Amino acid sequence: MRQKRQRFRIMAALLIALLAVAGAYGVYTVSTYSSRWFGNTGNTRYQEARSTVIPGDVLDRNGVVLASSDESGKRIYNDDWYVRCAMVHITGDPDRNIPNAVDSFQASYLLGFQTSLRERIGTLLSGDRRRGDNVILTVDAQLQTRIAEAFASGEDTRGRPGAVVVMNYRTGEIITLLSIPNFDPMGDLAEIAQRPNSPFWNRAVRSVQAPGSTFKIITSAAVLQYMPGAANAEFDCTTGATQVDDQIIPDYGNGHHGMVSLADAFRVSCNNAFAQASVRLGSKYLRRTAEDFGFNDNFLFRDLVVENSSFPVDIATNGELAWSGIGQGRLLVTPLHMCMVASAIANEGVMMEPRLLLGVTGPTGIQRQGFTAKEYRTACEPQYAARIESFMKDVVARGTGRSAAVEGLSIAGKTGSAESSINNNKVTHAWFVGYIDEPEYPYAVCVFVENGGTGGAVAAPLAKQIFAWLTEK
Amino acid sequence: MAKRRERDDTDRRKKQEKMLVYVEMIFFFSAFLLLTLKEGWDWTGFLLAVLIPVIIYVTTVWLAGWLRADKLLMAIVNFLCALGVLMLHTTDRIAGFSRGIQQLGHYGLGLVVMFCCILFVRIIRRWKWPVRILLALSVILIILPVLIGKEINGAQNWIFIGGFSLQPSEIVKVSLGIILSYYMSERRFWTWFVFLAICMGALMLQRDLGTALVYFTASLILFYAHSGNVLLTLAGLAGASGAAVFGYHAFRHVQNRVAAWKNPWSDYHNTGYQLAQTLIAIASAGLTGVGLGLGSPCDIPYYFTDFIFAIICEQFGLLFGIFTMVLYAIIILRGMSIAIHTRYSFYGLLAMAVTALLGMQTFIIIGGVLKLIPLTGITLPFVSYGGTSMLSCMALIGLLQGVSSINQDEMKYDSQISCAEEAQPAV
Amino acid sequence: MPAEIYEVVALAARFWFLLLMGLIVWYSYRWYARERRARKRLLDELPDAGFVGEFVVMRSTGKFKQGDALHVPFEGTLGMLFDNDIVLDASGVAPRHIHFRYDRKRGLKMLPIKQNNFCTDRGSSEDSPAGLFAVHGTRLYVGDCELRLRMFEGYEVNPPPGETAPVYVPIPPVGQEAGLPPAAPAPIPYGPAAPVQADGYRPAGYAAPAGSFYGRGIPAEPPASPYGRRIRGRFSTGRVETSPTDGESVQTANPYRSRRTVYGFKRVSPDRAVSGTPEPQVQEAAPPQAEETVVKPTAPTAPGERSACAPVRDDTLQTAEPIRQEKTPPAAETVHTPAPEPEPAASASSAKPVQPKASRAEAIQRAAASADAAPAKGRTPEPRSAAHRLPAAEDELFQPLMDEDDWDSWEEIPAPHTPAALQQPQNNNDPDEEDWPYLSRPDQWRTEGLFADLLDDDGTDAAQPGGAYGSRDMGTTARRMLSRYFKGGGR
Repeated sequence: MRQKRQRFRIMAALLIALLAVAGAYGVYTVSTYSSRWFGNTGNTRYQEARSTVIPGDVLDRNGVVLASSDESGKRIYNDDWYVRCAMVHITGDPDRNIPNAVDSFQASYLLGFQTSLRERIGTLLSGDRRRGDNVILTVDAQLQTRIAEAFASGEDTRGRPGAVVVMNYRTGEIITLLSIPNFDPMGDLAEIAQRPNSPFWNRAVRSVQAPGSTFKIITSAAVLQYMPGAANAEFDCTTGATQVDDQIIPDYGNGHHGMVSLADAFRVSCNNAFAQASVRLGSKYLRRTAEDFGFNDNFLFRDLVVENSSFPVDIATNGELAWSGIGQGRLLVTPLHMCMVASAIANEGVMMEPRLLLGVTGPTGIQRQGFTAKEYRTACEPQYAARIESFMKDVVARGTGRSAAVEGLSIAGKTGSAESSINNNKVTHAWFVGYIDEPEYPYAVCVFVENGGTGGAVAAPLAKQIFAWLTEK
Repeated sequence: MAKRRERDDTDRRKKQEKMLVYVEMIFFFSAFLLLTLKEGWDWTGFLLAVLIPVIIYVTTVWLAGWLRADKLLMAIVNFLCALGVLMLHTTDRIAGFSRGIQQLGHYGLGLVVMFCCILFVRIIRRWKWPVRILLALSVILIILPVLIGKEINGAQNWIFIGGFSLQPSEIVKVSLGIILSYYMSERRFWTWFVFLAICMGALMLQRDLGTALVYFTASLILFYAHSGNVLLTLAGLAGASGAAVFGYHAFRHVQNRVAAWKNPWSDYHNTGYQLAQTLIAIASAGLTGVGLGLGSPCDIPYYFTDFIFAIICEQFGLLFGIFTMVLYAIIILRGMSIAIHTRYSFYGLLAMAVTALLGMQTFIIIGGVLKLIPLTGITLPFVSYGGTSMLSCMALIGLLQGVSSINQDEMKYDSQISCAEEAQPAV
Repeated sequence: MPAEIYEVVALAARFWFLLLMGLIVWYSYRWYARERRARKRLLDELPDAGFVGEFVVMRSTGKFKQGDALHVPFEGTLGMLFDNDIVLDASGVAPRHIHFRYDRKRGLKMLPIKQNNFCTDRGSSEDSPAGLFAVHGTRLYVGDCELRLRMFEGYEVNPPPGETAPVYVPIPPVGQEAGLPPAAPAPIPYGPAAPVQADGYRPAGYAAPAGSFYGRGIPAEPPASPYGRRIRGRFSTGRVETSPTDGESVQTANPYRSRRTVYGFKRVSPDRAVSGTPEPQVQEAAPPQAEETVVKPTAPTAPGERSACAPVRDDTLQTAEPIRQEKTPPAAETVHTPAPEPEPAASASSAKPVQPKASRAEAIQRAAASADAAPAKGRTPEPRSAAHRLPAAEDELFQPLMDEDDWDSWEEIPAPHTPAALQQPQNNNDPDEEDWPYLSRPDQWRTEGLFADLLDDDGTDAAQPGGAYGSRDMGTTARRMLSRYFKGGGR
């Protein structure tokens, strides 16, 4: 019996531990995922709430009303067709075809689920109909509309799908979150659903693509951190192609760069050099650095649902490692995440959590939630960030990203041309990530054009326009 | 001086014990009153508002005293049962059923069964033949659904006899505890092992995986507690894992369950619907809930049995749900305490079997609802709607309380012959 | 109620419900924790709770000495490993050797585990696959050890009918054969069978003066031992209050005392206690009994009468405990002990019994006051008769009783405490009355120089029992582990 008694204690402790695990897991999931679950389209609660509550307004950072409601509680959007179209992936549409747009993701605010008891009593006594809270976003509707127009009218970008993200790299505020093609939320949604290139798809946060040469930012961070003598290392690009195992890594356009240093290789975006560097590094260090930059992490941002980026965890051959080092292969990343990578370099290696919510005010005007900037993670050490910044400035000054240079502004950037195949057709996606290195304009930009061609030719000019508009104000 | 302090202690103790009962009564009175006033005046709700506190008081304070039952267990079990009635009554108003009243009937019947079980444990002195009879009956009962069972929700675990429907696996759960603990204490391995194997085989044939999981884990816990044989316990665990992997590959519905657990949103409209709605319900409640009688609990299929924990969480909040889990934990602790203070290993194992069965059942369903483990359809003890489930859980608690009262008697006897006059056995 | 108003009310009410739920959880937990503490305290007060008796070591080659007592719980295992209920770390004992279970009607049933063997004085385990039953006084031979079972009162059983109690041959203590006189079956140096009433228990003037117990050249004042103090201090109600000045002891409330821990009193078997009130003058007039009457109850003529007076039973098998406060009766002293050497203390005690009457009256008043204090609080005052405290006949219904292999046989054996059993003369052979002489009484150990290195302050080598449910509590374990592994401390 004595042994049994001891084991009774152990087993009861086990049972209680199981219950404790269940409880802790419940608290954890509810605290991390509850806004995601609540904002799900399957939730009938806020549809029911619509019948009794007038949803609150959605405003941009300058007070432009993006969406509001009429007296019957029906959603009405901005009067300007252009603004409506440009902002549709943020505000959402009446049928909620866009998952996790503000209309559904912030429904607990917009439909007054966060209203305090005192306010409820006040509303009850006044006899008014209940109103939800107003949500103020960090986006700049005017800028986003201009970018959307430029994207739609640009020579190289016209008719192509793509995404543009602009964010403040010091605070993480998202200034622009544009996904093309867009549509008018007050249009015929059934017809829109038939259009090509799935317009309901918010490419800025949901579309994962190979980052192409823009990934070389992360590869160089890994080289700087983990490869001894990286500053003086030279890479062989005399033949224009490197054979790693059975894979042949060519340079874009079969360029020959001779023996190059890391800075030169970055400037000219030399695939050979980075393939060799990543093979020398080994997959362990490359992966570690990529994960420092947020790859393979479960993004649980407060205001945004972002598809997770992935760096392959099971690289078996050096050939695949070499492809990964230049941003091809099984690497997948969203435009928003690439913008965050550039922001991390700009912000001395610290990646900020992207925020979309500037504030929430109740119907009576009290502020329910303010804006707090929060660090997401530390991507790399400041000295390496500074080195990479100098590389990126070189790229804009005299490298592949010359077309992004703006007179009088210190701009850093990196172009990318990611090759992938859609329906067995080889296509090239154009990338550009960059930022303004000026204290009064702390903005990072990511331009992504699907099937656009090279980054330097297609994405960089659009980025240049954006830089100009950002500094115009 | 010391004596007076002791007396004061006794007074305070009794007062605090009464306080628990009073607080429970206030809770249910106010809750049912609120529901009564929701839409006009609802006489059913008012009846419940009066009846439930009266039941709680009478059973906890009077009946438990007479039967020398464990008052704390009584109070907690009463609270959980009444909580089930409350939740079902709430959803009744929304869904238009009368499950609350039916559950009240089950609850009353369960109390009767519980008292019968207390007397059963106290009166039976020689367990040999009762256990043999139980064994025979249980084998027949557990095999019966395989032959004449009706399939409901993918599991063929119901039988219908003359207008009554019952779930034999729930009844066998009670006798499983007795049979396992008896033959383990008699150190007759093969008897209980073969019985358990028959049960598991029958449950597998009925595709009642949740109950099989409860049976198996509880038996494993009991086996370890009895024998302390780590190797065999691990072997059992490994065998179960192997069976689980086999079942995963063999059965389509197991794969669906696991897929729904991994990502309920991926197949939202089909297999994942139930779990996704559950998570939405829990998420919409937050920490303090949406309020009693509000929310939309009926979105979740089978909200009244398997997912009643989600309804509790939705209406009262996650914090309340965690408090409910603490109550279950106190039942487990109490069961352990009773098991430890028994003098014969049969009673100890019986108490532990009850604890393990209730604890594992609670964990499996709550873990399933919270998406910690794949969902298997079993009921939350005492709270879920269902006559058989309620009766079996009450019978289990009755066994535990019977053991507890035997402990009390033994302790009293010891105190008498050891002349500790003030000794008042606790458990 | 309109929906909007209801919503607001329900929203407000959730805090109310949450508060109530928090209170419910808090009260439940408090209740649980309080009862846990109360039980712990109770078990501290009843160190014997959960034990039916003890195995006294007669002979062992292990680390045990003669006289060591191993507590026997209701059910458990005996073996060498540390986690057995009875740890018998001696050669020839298997890690788990015997599984035993107490049966209220038949004694301690013992079964060998696996291929192990053992013997009792009724046979060997090989011959009786159904298990061997041990009763009070049964010897058990396991490995190199010889143990003898001593059952606590209330748990005693008689040998089955037809079996006579074994005749024991005294065995001299191991290693003590030379140089010492053989431990003869010494007459029990105390306890004349003055008819003892259940309530009053101790006749007036019976008490010996303080110090007479250790009168053989040992300091009169019993040395303070934390163990002894602890145990005695807890028995606040049923304890005998001894006034150090006049040496009088008064039984205050409960005639029974711990089977183990209050020393110095003969045990009254509660089973045979009287339910009626005895006549005080009987014991006043009781002449010193002859020596035979110590062994048998005082010459009852009819069974009814016989059960009407409680025989004094010498229940102190030679355990590790001395009879500490034993008061040798002044009158009996000269009659009973044909002691080889004169005992000055004993003679002193015989000279002592003059006691100031006032102090005695005081003591009695004190006792009465303390006894009345409890009923004053509204509890029904319990009659102080022993029978009242006995398990009543209907309580028998609730006694746990385990199976035997033969289903019907138990009916034939009458319960030991029923009058039927008492009437059967062969059932009345108490094995511990005469034939228990293998070791001198513990109060003589010091004078005889036995176990000098083992005896502690109170003259015993008794280990403090851990309690049947014991084990170190988890808090203590955790603290120990913490200090050992994290604070760099250690034992």
